Amino acid sequence: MKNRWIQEHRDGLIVLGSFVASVLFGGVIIALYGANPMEAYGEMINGALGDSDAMLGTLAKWVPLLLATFAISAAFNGGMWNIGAEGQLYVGAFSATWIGLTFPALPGAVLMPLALMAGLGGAAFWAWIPAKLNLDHGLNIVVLTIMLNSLGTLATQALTVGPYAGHQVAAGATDKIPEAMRFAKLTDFSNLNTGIFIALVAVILVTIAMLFTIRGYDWKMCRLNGRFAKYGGIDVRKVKMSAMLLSGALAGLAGTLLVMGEQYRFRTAISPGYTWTGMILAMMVAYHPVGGILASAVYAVMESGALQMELMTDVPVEVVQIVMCLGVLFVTAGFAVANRMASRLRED
Amino acid sequence: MTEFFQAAVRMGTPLLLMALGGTWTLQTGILNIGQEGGLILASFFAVLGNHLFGSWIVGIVFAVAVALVYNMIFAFFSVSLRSNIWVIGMALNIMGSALSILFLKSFFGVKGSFRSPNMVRIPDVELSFLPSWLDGFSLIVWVAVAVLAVVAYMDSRTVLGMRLKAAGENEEALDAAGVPVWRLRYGVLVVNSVMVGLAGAFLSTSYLLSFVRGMSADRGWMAVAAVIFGDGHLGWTVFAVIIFGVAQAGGFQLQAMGVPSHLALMLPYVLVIIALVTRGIGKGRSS
Repeated sequence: MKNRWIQEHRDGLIVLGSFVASVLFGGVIIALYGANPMEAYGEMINGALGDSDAMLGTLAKWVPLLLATFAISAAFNGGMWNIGAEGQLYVGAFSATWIGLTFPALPGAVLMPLALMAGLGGAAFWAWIPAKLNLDHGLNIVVLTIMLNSLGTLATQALTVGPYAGHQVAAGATDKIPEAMRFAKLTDFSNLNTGIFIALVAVILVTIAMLFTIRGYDWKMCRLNGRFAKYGGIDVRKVKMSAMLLSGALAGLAGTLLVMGEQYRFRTAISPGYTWTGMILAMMVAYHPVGGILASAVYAVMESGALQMELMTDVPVEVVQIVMCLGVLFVTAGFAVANRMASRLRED
Repeated sequence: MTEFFQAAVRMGTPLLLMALGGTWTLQTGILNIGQEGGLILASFFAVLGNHLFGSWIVGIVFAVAVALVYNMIFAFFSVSLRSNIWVIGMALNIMGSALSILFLKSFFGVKGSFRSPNMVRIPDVELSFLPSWLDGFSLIVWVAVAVLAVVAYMDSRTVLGMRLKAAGENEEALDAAGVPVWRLRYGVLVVNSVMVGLAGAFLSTSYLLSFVRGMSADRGWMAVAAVIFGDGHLGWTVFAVIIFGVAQAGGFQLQAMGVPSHLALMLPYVLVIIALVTRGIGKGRSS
């Protein structure tokens, strides 16, 4: 009975155990800095959730991380290796900005959906290129997406310091987008804005799609065994392409919300690597959407509180990212050991 | 023209070193995806060792040592645990980049870049009998050429070279023939660490004498791209390395001619994509 419960929740237990292990390991790193791990983690939580302002700030940090994690999960879960979400985020963010700068006179009711469509569409297009080359011509998708990452960021940066350079700002940013297409800030002290509702709707829809629809099942089949999926009558190419386009659109939404809700302009460094963090988080929970929601929330708390921790205990903020990377390694090791044990049991 | 040639060699050297090691890892069936993270860590440790001991040799030793530790983690997961190389490689790449910033902050208390008067540059080789366009290269450049010669010889002429390929193509058969495949794979990753270490030391302590965060700038990925382009064939990989080296040098040349830097920097990436598309390979390795 008990054994059965463990078997059913095996994956979740491995992820949870690995997370605890990586936090403990992080404690060791913190101790190496001569700080008290309990105290440092305490400062971290305090800095992120200590009062309502801190909590709202953490919530604002959560939005791009959540979308980035989902962007990576959507692609990986469908068997597509989208390492290029960062470039897609940049292209999407710039596309939305471009709409705002080009059609400033349009009313908000037209401008907002137009900008969202441009942001999501531009990013999805940037994801379509490598997906097409991979699915139809067999080119290596990891290398392609990595190269398109750099191309996307460099191209948008070139546009931002060139023809679209802002007039009233320091170099590396465009002018502000019109008021009509801005998401209103919910509080005075944080970047939390009404864009969070769009993010939440997107996340809920994608979670439902991944867990409860036939398409979601097809994605998973294509990831687990492409040949078997084909044999089972699934149009593998179409299914994989849809996973990649969804991934691109989610990365684009992350970038678009940064422009329309937080920065109100495109900056050449608009993302401090959100999708790389999203990749760690997605890999850590084995691309499960609910896991992605939880992991990105935990990470938002850790990162939001990390500055406070660095201030109080001199432990650098990068510790957070390293702890999460260790989590991925532990999860991978956990799955490997569990699979080996399972096959040994079967042989007995 | 001489200047351009020398710049291309300078850009191509770290790529060549890593791509040679990467080709072997691909041949044995576990392409090393983690080269980018290894490269940035090696660059940092080359500076650290050089700064502490005022010696470029110690710097190289430090760089190779850290690359060895890093690659052995990759080896443990990919060879012993048989985990997905892309998951492990990506996690290690991200960790390597975060660690390099963490170390920069905690050892030197700076966030962006570090240089020190203690450091000694890896010497250039001055040989007066060489024509001027071949003279004055860093020692590492010549080491890379020597490594290329050794790898090319081993690859085509020795039993070991054949065994490496057999490990990737049919590991059961090789195991049955009494050659432990895991040992070959570990061995290849050890050799690869030396090359990643040399490439890192070259980046931070040869022409430039400082560590800048993010200074690996996708070079590890370009090496992986060259390996995938070659698909296990040394000649094609070296060809790709030459193209990417020339493209990088060309990008800087364009910048000097007044083309906006962001646009000029796009050149190597565009060429990587064109190269991959024209050769049209790499199938099936992403799954």
